[in-house]
Amino acid sequence: MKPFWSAFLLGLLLACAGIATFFYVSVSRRLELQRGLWELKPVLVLAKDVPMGHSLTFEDLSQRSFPAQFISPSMVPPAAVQTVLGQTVSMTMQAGDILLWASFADHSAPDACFVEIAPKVRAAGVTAREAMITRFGEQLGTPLAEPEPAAMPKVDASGEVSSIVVLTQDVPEGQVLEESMLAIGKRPSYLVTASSVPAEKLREVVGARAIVALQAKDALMWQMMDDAKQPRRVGSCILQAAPAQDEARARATREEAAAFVRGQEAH
Amino acid sequence: MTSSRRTRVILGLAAGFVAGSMGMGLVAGVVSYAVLKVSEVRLRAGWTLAPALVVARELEPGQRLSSDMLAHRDVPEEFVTSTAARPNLTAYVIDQMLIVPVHAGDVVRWSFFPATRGPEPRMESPFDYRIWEACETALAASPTHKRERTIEELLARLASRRGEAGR
Repeated sequence: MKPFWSAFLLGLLLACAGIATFFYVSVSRRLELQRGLWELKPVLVLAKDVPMGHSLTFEDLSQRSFPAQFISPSMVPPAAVQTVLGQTVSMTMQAGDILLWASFADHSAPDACFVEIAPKVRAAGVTAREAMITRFGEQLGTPLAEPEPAAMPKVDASGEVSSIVVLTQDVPEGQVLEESMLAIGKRPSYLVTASSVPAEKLREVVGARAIVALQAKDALMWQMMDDAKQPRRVGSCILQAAPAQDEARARATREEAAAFVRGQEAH
Repeated sequence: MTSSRRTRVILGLAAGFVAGSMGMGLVAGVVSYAVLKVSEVRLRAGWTLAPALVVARELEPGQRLSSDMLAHRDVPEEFVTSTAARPNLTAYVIDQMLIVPVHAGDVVRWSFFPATRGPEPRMESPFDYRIWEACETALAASPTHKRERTIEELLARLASRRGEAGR
């Protein structure tokens, strides 16, 4: 057995030496990498709050060091201090903020475009909204018919439960109610008011328009709906005016921005 | 050397190698882990890290942020000032148009977006930023408008402006 144990010992030593060398080399490399990541590198930071449009002075800046792994090429190094002194910052910054090259990005052209076309776009939106509100008012006619008083849902024999109309599914704002979306549900009487739709009125509300978003199992209420053909509620007016305003703004934005660029190209 | 003796030597060598590899591998693994952890703790000493929303890769102005362009990372707490977008507000940043060039690892700041860059230009409604974005997009498509797309282009302008001031 002696040769076996001599060879065993030799194998053991060789393996230990090999493994130890391998780990030593790889750990040394990892340590070096780790030290590199945490090595301190200086960057410029704001010493005080700086408003947009401010021209940077030496007093606005200070220097701080951070681990290299957190430093990016977007940050201004102290060596570039002369490049940034006297430059105008195009964004608001606060004391302690790291100075970024992006702080000097030139937004003058889109800013000029915005200042020129924003009032026109807003005006286009307001005009479209007011036209839609006027049209809505004209459709209402005068005088407005008095709404019928809502009947209180009936209470069952026990005197504790009422049958009312509930939603079977989610219904988005503006959707016309279909029969499949409605069902009769029972609710404790103390939760039921004259706003709730009585079970026997289910067929009457089919075809009405939901003027707010509804969720499955919601108890339907009269003020959540309006006549789809002859709307008279403020919610319906908003439902018509808001998209008209959005559409007018979007169209004006496209057209005015294109016109501004054409004007720039012509100069 | 007889055949049986040679077999015993090879067997012994192999057994020793396997036993040594396993034993030393285990010990060296534990020691290496401990050394690296101790070193990391020593290097991190004095730095308090805070979670931040960072840019995952280099991006140009005009690009709209999506979730794959963003990452959460711990950074020195000094980076997370009130102008930085906190990770819990990621939803507000998604789909916003960047107006500056950024690099991977940059902490996302509200000043990177048109509506929150500063008090000017004055946005009167929450939808006004779309006008600014439309201007940016229309200008970017114009052959006559020179938009700085990278930090290098921005630096070149700053350097030339400084040169002009020096003359």
